Amino acid sequence: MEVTLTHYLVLATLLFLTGMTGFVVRRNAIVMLMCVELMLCAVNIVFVAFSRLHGDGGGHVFVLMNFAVAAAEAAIGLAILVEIFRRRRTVDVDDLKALME
Amino acid sequence: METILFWLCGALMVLGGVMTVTQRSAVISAVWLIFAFVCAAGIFAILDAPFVAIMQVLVYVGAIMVLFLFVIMMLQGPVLDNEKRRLLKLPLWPAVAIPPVAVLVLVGGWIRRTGTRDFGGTVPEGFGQPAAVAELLLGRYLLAFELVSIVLLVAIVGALAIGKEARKLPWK
Amino acid sequence: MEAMYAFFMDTAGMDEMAAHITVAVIMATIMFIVMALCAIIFTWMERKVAGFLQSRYGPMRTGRWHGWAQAVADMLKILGKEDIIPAEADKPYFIFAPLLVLLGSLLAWAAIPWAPGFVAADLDLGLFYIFAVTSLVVLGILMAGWASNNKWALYGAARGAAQMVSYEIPLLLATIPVVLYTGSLNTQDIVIAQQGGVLNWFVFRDPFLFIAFWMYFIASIAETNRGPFDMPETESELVAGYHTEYTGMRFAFFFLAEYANLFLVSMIAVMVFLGGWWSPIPGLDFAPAACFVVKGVLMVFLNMWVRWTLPRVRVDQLMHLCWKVMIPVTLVCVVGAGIWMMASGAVG
Repeated sequence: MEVTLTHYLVLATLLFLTGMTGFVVRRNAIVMLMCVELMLCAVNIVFVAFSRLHGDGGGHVFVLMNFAVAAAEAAIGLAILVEIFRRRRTVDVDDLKALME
Repeated sequence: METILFWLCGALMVLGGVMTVTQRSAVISAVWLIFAFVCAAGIFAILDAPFVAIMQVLVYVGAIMVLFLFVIMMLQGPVLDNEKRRLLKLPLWPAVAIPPVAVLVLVGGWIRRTGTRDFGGTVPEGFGQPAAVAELLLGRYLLAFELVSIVLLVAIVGALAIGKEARKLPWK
Repeated sequence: MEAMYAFFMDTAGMDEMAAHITVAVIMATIMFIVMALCAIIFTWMERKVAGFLQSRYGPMRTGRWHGWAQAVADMLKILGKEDIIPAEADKPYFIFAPLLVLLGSLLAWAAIPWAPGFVAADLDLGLFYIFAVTSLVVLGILMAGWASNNKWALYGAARGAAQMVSYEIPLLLATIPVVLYTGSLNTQDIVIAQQGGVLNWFVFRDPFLFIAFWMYFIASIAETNRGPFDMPETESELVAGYHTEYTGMRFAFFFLAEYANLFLVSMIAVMVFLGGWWSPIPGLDFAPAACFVVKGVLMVFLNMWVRWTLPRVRVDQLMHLCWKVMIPVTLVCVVGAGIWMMASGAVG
């Protein structure tokens, strides 16, 4: 069976849903961030697939932008988590509900 | 060849994603995520995007995931850090499971109705090579490129400001 | 490579796919043998160089002539040792980590142009590819340190990761001016652009490239975790760093990877700055591969010389050097080389 655009889109959908489910299910904030990275990666596949469809490199440029955004997100997110860990000794999001109580 | 590689990379990538979500130890999750990212680089390479594929390995595997592993190890040390509790309370499971399944059903129905879409046509000469990407990056998307560099700069300053003890910051 | 393809496709009558796979297997075998050989030769060389730099002889007995068989004996000993996996270690990752370290450097070896046309993977993005796959080494080190479940190993791995990720930036930036000159990331194109004697080598093309070469050299020492930047395995503080818990065969993998990496960064230096397979005098290029390897070994010697001469730096000095000295200097080199190119009319 020939591999078509639809195959790539379905693959990206599967990955996005995996990441989304993980983000909702997992309680460790670091793993939640990793699930966000997985979702971003799924988006990148869509960009590259459509870039290939149109023969236009614009998608590649946006994937590179996405890398930069992902890196920035990881850096800031992890810095916040390290700071939270210093104060609370945990990164479990269930323990971080000071504003709820 | 392309077909074999697609199914191989795709299947391994989904496996990597699922393992990332299901493994209880954060470090093992991260290792599986790296695996998924390497497979994603393979997918990019099949899609005539060699530059993006190499950047994927360089940025994600070489930098972002190392940062993740580094932070996990720094926070939790050499102990097996299992999430001891149940992941979710039982009544919440349907709420989590239904949306993805619904999306998949919708996607399946859509494909059945419209059929698959072929790539068709060939890509231009040098497509996905650094020269082509660079021309777009420094031409049509110059403004976005500059803005992203500002985003990165802000991220560096922000990470430093958050990470450093407040009294040691130069502007305090 | 073309000759090999032609042989398998025309003489042996294989189709293209089979020929590709055969050539790939042959090249991988050659690379692995060369890698093992270079680990054996370089351990002997390192001990001799260290000896002479410290006014002593080094190994002298095994195999009579200057102890040449010492490295072989060491290898046999290490392979005969018991393979211990700590009880509290994370077993699959403990086993996988040394392989990942070795894989990272072996993958990078594929894009090294040994002689005209003789390169296992002739990629358009060769140089970039090399830097991308060597990042697997960092992962292997982190994994080894974590899976050992030992605080020394973890500290060593954390230091190693921080150091290698940081120094990858000046390492990459230092090669960018050369890419500007060549206009290509293909490893063969980079070497071909340096044809015509020692003055055409990229080190001597312009002052910025000369500085970039030394920046590359310093970064490459840090990248291979060797002294004076061997923070990940400082024996006085961390026992042996990330491979504290490894014994026998698995330790041998780390050992092999260290020397494979050392030769790899030396070969990249030769390829990018020192004219690759071209001999210093134009017109004397009868043995390109030998010329390449000799230059590589000389770079390795330089590396060992530095290692056994300079004292080890502290972690904060290491990071200071990278972020506050080398990255700005290499950035200046990139811009400066660009301006020099425009001024000297090397680009339109």
